[in-house]
This record gives sequence, structure tokens and C-alpha cells, in this order.
Amino acid sequence: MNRMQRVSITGHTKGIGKSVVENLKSDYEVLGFSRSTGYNITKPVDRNRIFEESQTCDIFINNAFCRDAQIELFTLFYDAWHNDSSKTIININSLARLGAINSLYKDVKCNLHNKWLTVLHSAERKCKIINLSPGFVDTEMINTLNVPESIVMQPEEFADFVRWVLTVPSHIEISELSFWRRV
Amino acid sequence: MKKVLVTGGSKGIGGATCELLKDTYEVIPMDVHTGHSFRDPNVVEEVFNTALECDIFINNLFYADTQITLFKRLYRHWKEDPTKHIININSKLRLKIPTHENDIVAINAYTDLKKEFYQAWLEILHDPGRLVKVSNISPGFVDTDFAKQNKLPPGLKLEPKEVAEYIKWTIEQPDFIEMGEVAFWRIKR
Repeated sequence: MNRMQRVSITGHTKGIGKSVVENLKSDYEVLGFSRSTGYNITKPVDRNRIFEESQTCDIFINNAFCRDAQIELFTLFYDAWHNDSSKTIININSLARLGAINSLYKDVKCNLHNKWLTVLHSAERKCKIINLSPGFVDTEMINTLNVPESIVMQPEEFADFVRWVLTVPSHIEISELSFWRRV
Repeated sequence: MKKVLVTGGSKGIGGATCELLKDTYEVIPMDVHTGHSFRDPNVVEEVFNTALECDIFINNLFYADTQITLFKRLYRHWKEDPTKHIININSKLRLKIPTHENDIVAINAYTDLKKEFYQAWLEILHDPGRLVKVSNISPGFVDTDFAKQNKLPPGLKLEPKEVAEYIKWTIEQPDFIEMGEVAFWRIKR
């Protein structure tokens, strides 16, 4: 019998990450890394610990946002996993990447997307890379913005899309999925 | 039953989509095989007028810039209608950086039009008052006559019915969810 697939995820104690863990834990072995459990992704030493402790995982969900740390983590995992067809990296991006409002958040999400574009056509790449760009999701970050409730997606709804991309046939790579709640 | 117009609905991606949707939707294919050659501007006008009577427009057939013009015209008419859905069939090639020495002129022209098509979506994405759903489907290479005729580079190809399944999945998301971009391709396994 095949072993249960192992998922590593950053930012697993709140918001999107927490819901993804809840959604996946019945069918995947999930390993979470958050500031509240001693992993601060802004520190290179902690990023290396996450990376080292995730090496037996099949899937890395690059969820937590903190300035350039998501890009650093993507680079770390991609460099090690790019030649391995059994591995999948999921970058949690954002619809803000395509938005009209300029912000540090948008810049970082654009940079994460651009980093993906640089490896997209690499002949050596064997691992899957999936980019998920949701619109507004009901998290602590959203509470600071003045967003109408009707267009805010619940983290549980977002988690359903994560589960879905993990269930497509192995010969298909879902590279980008953007989606949002509308009125 | 919802009415779906599929341009290029006789063969390839469009044909597979019509086949997959036909039991649960009223499907209208329009292309040269149904007597509608997109070379004729009157036909493009007829396609547009037929689309206006439908709920879902699957903007699939690639012929010069008709995908872009049909999208822009229909968007203007459907902008404030939350019951309508436009599905633009784009391509992974829109992400291509055209620097490869084997690139041929026809492919570069195709790529440029697909980029322009994507840009047209970006321009309306944040339109105030937009209620119509607009989704982009960007598959990698698909095993179609179009791919053969245009000498697309060899490589792994999706089956048209696989693309059709993702189109159906996009259409059948709950009303309150809008799929913006759905990009996927076949990889070596």
C-alpha cells in the first residue's frame, strides 16, 4: 500500500494555512511551520530549518507571507527539488498581483510570480509548481482593509481549491489558478 | 437549460467541449464545419448576435484577432449581467518568451495575439460595475488539427477532452466564485 503523502506548510496556525491543514489532515500527513511554533520565515536560519525538516515531504505549501521570505523559500525548495518528479511546490500568491493598487504586498507577490516565470520553461525542471492566486480571504490581514464582506472568501473555501489541485492526474500540472468571491 | 455557444465547436478543444456539455446544456457549435467561416466578416457578426442570446460564450476558435474583438464586443454588452459567463480559450504560449531559435513567424504571431487577448482581460478585470464572469483557460499543447497544421513543436500534448473537463469545471463553479485564470499542461510522468 502506498504511504500517505506528506505535506509541509508555512503559516499553518492561522487563516488560510490553518484551514488547509484542517482540510488535508485526514488524507495527508501534514507538517506545519509557524512563528508561534518557533519558525520565523524572515530569519534565514529558520528557513533552513523548515527546508531541512521538510525533506521527507512530497508537497511544500509556501503560504506564509512576510516580505521576501516566500521568494527565498521558493528558491530554497526549487533548487533542491527541481529535478525530482515526485515533488510539488504550491506558491500561495494573490489576486493583488494583478490589482491596480500599488503596495509592498503587490510587489512581493509580483516578484514571486516572476521568479516562477524564470523557471517555468527550464528543461531540467521535473517538480510540479502550482500558483494559487485567490482574491480577498477572511484572514487577520483582511481585517485591516475596508473590504465588503460579500467579496471575502472563507479560508475553508480556499482550502477546497488546494485539495483539488492536489488531486488532478500526475501527468497534468495546474500551473496557475486564480479565483475570488464575487457579489 | 443554459445555452452555450462554442466557436470552433466541431473539432479539437471545441468539439470535445460540446461533446462533454451536450447532455446538460443547449450547445451551439459555430465554425467552418457548421457553415460559418470566420474569414467572412458577416459570419463573425452572426456569431456575435448568436452569442448575445446565450448564457455562456466559449471563445475558442483562433482566427486572426477575432477572439479579441468578439470578447471586447460581448463584454460591453454583458458587463452588468451577473448571469453571463465568457470563457476565453488562451494558451500557455502567452507565457512564452519568443527567443528560441526554432521559433517560426506563425507561432510568434499566435503568441502575440494570445498575449494581447490576455491583456484585454486584464484591462476589464477590475472594471467598476463589472458583474459578468470572465475566465481564461490557458492549456499547454493540445493534440488537435490546429497544432498539426501550424507545426507546433513536438512535445507532450493534452487530449482535447482533458481540456474540455477543465472548461466544464470552470463553468460549474458556484455562482459566487469567479475563476480568473486556469492554466495547465501535460508534463512528463
